[in-house]
Amino acid sequence: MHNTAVAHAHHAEHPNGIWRWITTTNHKDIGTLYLCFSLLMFFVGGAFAMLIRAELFKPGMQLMDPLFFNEMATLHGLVMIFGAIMPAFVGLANWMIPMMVGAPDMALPRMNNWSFWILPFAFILLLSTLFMPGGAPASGWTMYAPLMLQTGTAFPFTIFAIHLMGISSVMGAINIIATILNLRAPGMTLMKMPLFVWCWLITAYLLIAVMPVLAGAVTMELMDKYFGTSFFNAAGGGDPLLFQHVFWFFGHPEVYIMVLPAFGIISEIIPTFSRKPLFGYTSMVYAVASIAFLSFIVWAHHMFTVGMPLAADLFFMFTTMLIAVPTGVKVFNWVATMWRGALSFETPMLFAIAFVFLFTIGGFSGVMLALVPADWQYHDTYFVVAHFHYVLVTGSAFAIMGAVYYWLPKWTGHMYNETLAKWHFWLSVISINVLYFPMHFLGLAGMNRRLPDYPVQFTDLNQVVSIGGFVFGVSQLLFVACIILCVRGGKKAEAKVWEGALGLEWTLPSPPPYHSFTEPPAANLIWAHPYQND
Amino acid sequence: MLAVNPDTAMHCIVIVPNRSLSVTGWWLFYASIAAATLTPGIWFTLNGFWPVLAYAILEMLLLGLCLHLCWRQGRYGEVITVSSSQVFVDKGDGHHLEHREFSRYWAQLVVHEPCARLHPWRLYIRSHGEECEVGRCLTGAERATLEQRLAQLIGPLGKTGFN
Repeated sequence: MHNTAVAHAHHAEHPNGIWRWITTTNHKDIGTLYLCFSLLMFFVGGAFAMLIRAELFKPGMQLMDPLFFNEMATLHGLVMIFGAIMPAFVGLANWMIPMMVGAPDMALPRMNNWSFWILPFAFILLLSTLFMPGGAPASGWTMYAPLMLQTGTAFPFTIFAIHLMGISSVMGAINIIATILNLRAPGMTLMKMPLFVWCWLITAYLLIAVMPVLAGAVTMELMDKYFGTSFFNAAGGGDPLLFQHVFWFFGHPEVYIMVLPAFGIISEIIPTFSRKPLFGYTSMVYAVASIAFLSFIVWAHHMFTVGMPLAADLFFMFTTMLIAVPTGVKVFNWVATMWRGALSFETPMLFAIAFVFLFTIGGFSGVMLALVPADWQYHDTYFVVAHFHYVLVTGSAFAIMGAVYYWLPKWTGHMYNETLAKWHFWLSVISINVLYFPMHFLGLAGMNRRLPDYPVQFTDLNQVVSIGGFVFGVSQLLFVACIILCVRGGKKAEAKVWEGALGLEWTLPSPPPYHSFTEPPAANLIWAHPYQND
Repeated sequence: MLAVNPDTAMHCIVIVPNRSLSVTGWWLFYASIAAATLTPGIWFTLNGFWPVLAYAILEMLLLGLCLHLCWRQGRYGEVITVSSSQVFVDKGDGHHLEHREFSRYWAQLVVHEPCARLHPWRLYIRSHGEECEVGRCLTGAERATLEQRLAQLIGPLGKTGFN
């Protein structure tokens, strides 16, 4: 005989130890797993970057042979994109989306567990290629044919790892879509959703639309190598150039997959610390949707130098420049939100302001690269490296760091150490500009990317860049210290951690209960947290 | 989600999961994402890159299956009616409907502990060797509220908690 109290007490428990993390279907646990994994991969990918910058500290060959340099460049790209940035955003989505829409958990919790646990195996597989005959893939993260086909034993393992990462991303995206569409609390209409949720809905849409293209592209490479097909083999009637079209049809939306959730995060942080509702909520939603749509029709701006017809060059140039319009709307709205707001500058806000300023620099260099005649000059130089690092590091990575500081008190129930966090911010923001800004000049002066050696006249700027890189790398240890100290203790955080915070997640205690909303929040609670000021 | 009829002569509890996706919304979303995914797939196939379409179709099938499962779970519902002498339970998902009747005097509320730690506990109404699960689509806290409410409605004799 069992009484009901026993059963209820039992249900309130959850497993502890390693089994909790392996078998969990709880959105917060899985979000934590994603975030920890992405932090680990951030340091692995960062270590590869440190090796690259150490080699480039002086002209000539110092530490590694050219093949290993290219292996480092390839793995740095793959690990940072698929291992650090994307899982971090999925982790944030797992933690926050159910709380933001008033759901008890994700719609497909078991699939959520699988989609995370595929990732460690994918990256063990990818990183194990370093120890295989012929070394790791060295063709760059773009895996261009026929260069990629020259990879040794690592080739099929890399392709399989890419497939696993793609499966994980698709399952994560399906889960997010199902949660947002089906589990919103009564009263939470689409146009009442927080911007972070909107941005993730559109990102998930993009992920589902383009992942089959990546899977198809790498499968065709596999078939060319092992099954005698000639998709990209000119000798057999194929065309290696077409790989670039297929890849960038995936690759450019992929860039937005890594940026749109960052837009959502910034749209949460800035209103909170401006103590004002977001300016132009509706236009923000339409701007994100427009950027997502345009991302499908700009892919060949990565390939201006391959010799496309003039009409194609012009089409892709104009569509690319068109993206500046909705992006400009977003930047304008963030600035307008801050305008005459009661601003305060806690660490999340500092990261958000740095994002707006530095991402805009990346955006401007993107407009320069969109110009066909200019791109012929800049293509494959360090100008491009500077451009996409301003977008992905001071853009995506800074947004992730801001998000972690913003929601860490909610997750742990403790306030983080603000002084340490500000040290982290200022060291990061200064060193990142020392790291990436001189790359513009190196690129304009003609220094090629993906080469382990360079002419002696580039030495000074390369040394500055490398020093910036090392300082940025070391300063990230402060980020880890902040997180660990906050998890272990600190001042107790209230339910509504930030005075100006809007949204359902701030109605839950800090830390939130194991199951977020055991009852759908009342509609008046949603209406009491407006995201629109109209 | 629980809704209780305020009528004191006949108590009725309606249990349906929260579902914010309408049928029209389901089809609109699926059609738009299928168009965005299959159009490039078909275009690449016409240019000889058929594996892209194969993956796109596989992915659309997976997405459709997942959305269908979510939507089907949302159609599930239970109506528990407690009259002066009987307890009626009607439940189903639109295709399979189940109707059960229990004598209110003999009806018992029974809680089954889960067979594994992560599984939810279950609430049953039992009488004369027959059992019927209620509150399957609820969270633990909601099910506990339901259990308390049913214990009040069915009467003190019904709350024995046998397993």
